[in-house]
Amino acid sequence: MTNHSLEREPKFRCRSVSVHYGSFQALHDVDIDIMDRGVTALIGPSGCGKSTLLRVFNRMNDTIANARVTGSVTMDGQDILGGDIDPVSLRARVGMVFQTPVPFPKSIYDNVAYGPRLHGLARTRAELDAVVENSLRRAGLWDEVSDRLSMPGTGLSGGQQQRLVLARAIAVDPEVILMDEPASSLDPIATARLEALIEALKARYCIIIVTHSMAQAARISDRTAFLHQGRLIEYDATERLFTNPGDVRTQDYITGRFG
Amino acid sequence: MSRALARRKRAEARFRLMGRAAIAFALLALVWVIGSVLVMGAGALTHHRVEVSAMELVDPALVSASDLGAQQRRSDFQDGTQSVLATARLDQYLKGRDVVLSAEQVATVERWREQGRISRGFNTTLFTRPDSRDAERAGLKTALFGSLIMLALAAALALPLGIATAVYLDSFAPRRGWGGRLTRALEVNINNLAAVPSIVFGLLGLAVFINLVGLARSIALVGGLVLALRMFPTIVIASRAALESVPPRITDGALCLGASPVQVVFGTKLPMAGPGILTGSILGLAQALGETAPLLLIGMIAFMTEAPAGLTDPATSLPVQVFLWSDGAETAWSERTAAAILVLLGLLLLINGAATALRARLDHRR
Repeated sequence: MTNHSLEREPKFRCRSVSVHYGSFQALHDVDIDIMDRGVTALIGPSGCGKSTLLRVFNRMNDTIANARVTGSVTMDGQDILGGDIDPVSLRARVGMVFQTPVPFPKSIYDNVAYGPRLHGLARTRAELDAVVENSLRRAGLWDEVSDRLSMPGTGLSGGQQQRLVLARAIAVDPEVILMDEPASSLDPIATARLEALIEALKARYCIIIVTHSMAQAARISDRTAFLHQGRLIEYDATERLFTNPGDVRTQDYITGRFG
Repeated sequence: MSRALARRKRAEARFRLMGRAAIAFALLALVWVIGSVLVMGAGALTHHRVEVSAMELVDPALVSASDLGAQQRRSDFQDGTQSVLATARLDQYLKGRDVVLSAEQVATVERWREQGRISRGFNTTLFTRPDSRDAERAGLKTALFGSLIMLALAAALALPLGIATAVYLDSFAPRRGWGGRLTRALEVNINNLAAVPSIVFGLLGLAVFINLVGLARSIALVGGLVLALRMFPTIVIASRAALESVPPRITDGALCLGASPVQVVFGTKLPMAGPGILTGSILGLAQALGETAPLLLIGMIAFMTEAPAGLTDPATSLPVQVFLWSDGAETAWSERTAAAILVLLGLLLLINGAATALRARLDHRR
């Protein structure tokens, strides 16, 4: 059945996490452990609560007026839902990439430098230059934009923009990167590039990715969680979940019978 | 199928025609209004002067008596003559308007004309002199100064307050519970405030600033305060709309990088909303510049022969001046009224042009 335990100490530990939007309950008592340095995929039909769960990890539900999160979530053993953690400092540790890449209306350089400037990560211009270059390299974008860093970030192609916002997230030097359907607006070639990138990044970061594509989840994730109607139905090593699902709903979903 | 298509095409053509007709009508109305003001006001841009010798006895109905008086007091006049302002009456007569002069006056004027003593030049009086009982000596200096002082004060008060209110309501005001209800009530009230007739603001100014606080009537300070009140809701609404139009994805992106709410507002939201806020603020400014009713209520209807030098001096404004002059029976006053309207329109055009240019520059920089 559902496997909550991990071999190593988890990065996140969620216990009976529920999320309400007004009177609507989007998540029901979810227990899940997320491993460090690996890719965890959240799959499920539209409206199953996977994006809501993703937004629990960086407290982005706080920005929704009538959202209420209950239960307990710890990151490295530290409670991140309570009042004693500052969501602002949490978000510096937990980066996020959205479905549609939305660069700031600034230059490519300023987009990447936004976070480091915010947190004072670089003292000199040379240091900032290094952070920007490093982040762009890690996001696999450096070779394409190194000669036009002062051009607006919004002028890049969709795939480049997605890697730009990824570089922007990396520049803050987070521990976790959350991705909300990062490939849904990309063409197949850009998607392949992004997936290769995720593969390379997982050695360093804890990556949690929401995806609609079962094939993508199977390709890139180490563990996969299947959510349905706000409940965590099944959570297991990706290979096992896709080849030998324990729940009939998981089976139906991954074989394309609904969702 | 093809019949339905033809019908749709006809409907579209009809709609387009109606749109063009509406635009044509609006243009026509605009041309008519501006054109008539231009035709009227152009006359006031020039004025006649007469060369008068110091010892000459002149009919005060023909040349400005006060000008003459000043000239005759002067001991060292050059080559015995001085150029003095023609009275509005003579000026209108010379411009071919319907003015009745006595036979004697006509003879005098004809003599002057033959001697080449009458000249027509740009009417500098209109821009450099304060208001006067005599149309030929009346100028817009009082009104221009008054309008500028009051507008500056109103902008200095209403802009920071209005933008700060909009930012607070947009990003920091409570959204839940009783605080949220209070926020919504505030929003509704500010929106309604913008629709309140401006004369009510004058009444408020009269009740609060003059009767309660005890400030003097018709001073620039009270006018500026009332205009600030008038501008405030416009600026709040425009700024809120501009802030709301910043895509939430952008602000979410900044939040996800660990920006604090204040950093998001000042580093991301405000710069992006800047052009919109600017346009809205200029709109409020232009509105305040044309405001008449509230100023009348706080006593700015007084005849003022001195330009205000400070906030506590009595002042008047351009639209009030237009209102005052429009009362004059002589054609010279109608001319000057139209000219004052032209100056007012020119100022508005200048402000709007500055806003457009500034906006274009801000948009370009992003």
